[in-house]
Amino acid sequence: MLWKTIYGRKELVRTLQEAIHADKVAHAYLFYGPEGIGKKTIAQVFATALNCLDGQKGCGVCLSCRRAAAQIHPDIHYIEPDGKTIKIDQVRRLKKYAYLKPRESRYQIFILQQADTLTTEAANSLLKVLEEPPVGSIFLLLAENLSALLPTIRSRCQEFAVSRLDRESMAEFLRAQGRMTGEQIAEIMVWAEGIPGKALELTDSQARQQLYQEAVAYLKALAAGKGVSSLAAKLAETEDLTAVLDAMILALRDLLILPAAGKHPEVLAGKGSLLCGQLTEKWHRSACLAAIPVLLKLQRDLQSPINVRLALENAFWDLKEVYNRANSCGNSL
Amino acid sequence: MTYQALYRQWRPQTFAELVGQEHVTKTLQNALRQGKLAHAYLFCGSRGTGKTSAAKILAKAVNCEQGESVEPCNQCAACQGIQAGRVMDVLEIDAASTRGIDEIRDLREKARYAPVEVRKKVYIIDEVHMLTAEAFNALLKTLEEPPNQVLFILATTEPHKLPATITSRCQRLDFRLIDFDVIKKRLAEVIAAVGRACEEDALNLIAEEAAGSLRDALSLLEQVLAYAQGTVSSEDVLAVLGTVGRDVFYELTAAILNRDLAKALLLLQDVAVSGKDFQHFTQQAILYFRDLMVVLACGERAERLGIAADWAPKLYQQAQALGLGEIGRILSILHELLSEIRWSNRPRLLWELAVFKIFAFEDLAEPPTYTQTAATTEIVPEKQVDVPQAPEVAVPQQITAREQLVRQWPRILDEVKKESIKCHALLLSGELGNFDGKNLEICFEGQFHYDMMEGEQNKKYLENVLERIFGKKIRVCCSLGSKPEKVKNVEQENNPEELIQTALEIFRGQLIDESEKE
Repeated sequence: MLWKTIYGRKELVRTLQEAIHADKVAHAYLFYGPEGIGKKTIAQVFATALNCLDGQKGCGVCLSCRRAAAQIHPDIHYIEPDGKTIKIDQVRRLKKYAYLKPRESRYQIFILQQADTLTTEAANSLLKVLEEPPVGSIFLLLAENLSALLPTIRSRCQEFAVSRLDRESMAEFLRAQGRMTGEQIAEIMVWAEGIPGKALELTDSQARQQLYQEAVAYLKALAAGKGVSSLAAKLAETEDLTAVLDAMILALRDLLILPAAGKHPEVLAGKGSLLCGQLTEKWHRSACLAAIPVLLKLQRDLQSPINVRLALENAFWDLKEVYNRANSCGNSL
Repeated sequence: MTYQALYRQWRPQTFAELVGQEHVTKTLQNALRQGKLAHAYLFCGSRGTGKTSAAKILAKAVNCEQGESVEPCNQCAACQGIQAGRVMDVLEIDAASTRGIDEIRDLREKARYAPVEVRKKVYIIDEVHMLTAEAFNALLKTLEEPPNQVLFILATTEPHKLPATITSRCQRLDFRLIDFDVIKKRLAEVIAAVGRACEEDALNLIAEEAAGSLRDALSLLEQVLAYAQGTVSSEDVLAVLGTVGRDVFYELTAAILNRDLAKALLLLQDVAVSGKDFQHFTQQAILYFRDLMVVLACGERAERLGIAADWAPKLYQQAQALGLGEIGRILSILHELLSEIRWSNRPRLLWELAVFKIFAFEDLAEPPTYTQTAATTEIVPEKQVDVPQAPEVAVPQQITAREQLVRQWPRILDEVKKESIKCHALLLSGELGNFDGKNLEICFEGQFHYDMMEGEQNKKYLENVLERIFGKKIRVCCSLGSKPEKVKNVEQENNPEELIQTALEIFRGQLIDESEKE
């Protein structure tokens, strides 16, 4: 049974199974949730089950299921962004298929990955087919950012939130990956925030702590007034830049809520207060509060094609200013 | 026959079934009755209000074999053919896909031919706002004086994107958002027809969520029907919507009132873990605080503004403890949050920041305890402040009004800058003097700055901002002469070595010792 490969989300699974069972499958579904949450897995299992030859159970052994697993099923189509967006030509091609009969199975299924990247034109040209698709065509839309989708698209789909995993399901999921101690699992869970995809990236615990330490080091250096430009240059050459920035944000956030988290260490990302304890002296809370938006903006900026080093330098100067300002206020007391 | 989505099964087939758009149906039916149908109609309105349905019904009505009548018979070959999309004289064009000038040229060419099967050739151009500018212009002549037997129906959700030359050639009919009660009635009909039962509350929730769109309502209903086992309850709807109940916000507000930051963060954690959509969560939060505001402002009459009776007393208690100023401040923070969250992939972090902002202010005033009934919170003068039970919260035990002001000072400066850059510059050259919660003293060294700040206008800017941030009037006075303990400027703080170091870095220079040269 393929459904077993979906951890947690019992309600979602039940609803989908029920729809298949009662033969009331809608023509368009929208699964949304953050990156790495498992939208694609769900869509794949659902699509496979719909076309499964063994009573639509999703047996995983019949010819159809095996083809689907290898992603060579002729009736399950994947549409991915071409470059950064899904273009109108891709949608036109899709529609050409949609108005044909499924080749061999009962349903023809289109899985639109990152449907929130549909261009306005592409999204609009999808509207008609999404409203009244030909018999046997089913659309599965996957999206991270709901608000980037046209309301007219959303109103044509059944929307399902793909939720973060609760503790038990997450633990189960991690145990299923094997070779992990209970302690490691507990630690990963804090970082992954219930996102299995993130958890898989994080399985290397040493690297994780190293990242965090690196981030703390940068923050300390900034506070100590070291040369901003050289810091930025150093960071620009780091390979996992986004990860370090992530860690910096997490560290600042930890600092912010550290005092409040006394009894509930599970809300903290850094392991214990040891690491960020080094920072509490230096980074005032108001500084943290102002610094996080700076880093968030930097991350957003970095997604567009710009000079990484310049952007970093600019952000670091901002950080420093934020830091100085907060501290000059503190000194005046 | 495979299963069809509810909104397709229940697509209205006659004008009578087209609920909530009486002004449209009446116009069309009268035109039909008097034989004064225009040659081009523009249907606009929000999603799910019945534009496409109305277009199809109109196409049937003009072509019905029973003769042009106010309602299509839905029995004859023409009606059924149009229904199934078989009649080649009724063309439903998806303007979003066929949006170029070539397609419109083709349409123009073919529009000249007489209809084959039915009396009138009907072009239904859906999503017409997506046509390119050239295509629109190519359509103009045909749309102005189409051949005799042609009827154009344009439908769009975004009429403002159409060129004025198009709109002026059509009879424009605006579709309204469908009333709450109408949607509810329709939902009840559907539920009865599929043989399921549904609680009244659940119906209310669905109708509310649909916000005037019948298709949204039916989509949601379908989803809820698939999810729920047996009778549909309001919990089922909440679960499908991925929203939280009101009690979460009640607890959040309670946490704010008790200054229990940990509690608030844990609440957010719960929301994140259960996979709720934070954008929706934010909208709900805004609604909740709006309710608080309404309750406080209207008291007993709040029910008329849509506050549930059983919640009113609880809300009133919280609203009173918070005070109007604070509620307003929280609302503006949440609004800011909403626009940020839309484009962010870290909604939880943003929420945490927002919660923190909300709490930061609390430090200023004496935190109202939960049972306290005073409507306004007072800023307590120095020395008397004593923070009551704030478990685990990192609030220093003694907070003076001045410390609070200092903490808020950067924000105040930012706000002032938005109002007047001049005033901001003046403040930068001044220093904070005494502050007892009601009067704020600002010290200036130079006579010029002092005079400028004393000028009514500049003072007013600062006072306005202070009032906005602290939610109460604070008087500003200026004084001349330097204070002994002065705020050190950032630049002065840097020791000379560091300055040199920074300069070297910026200019990529090197140190040359002057004395050696000589």
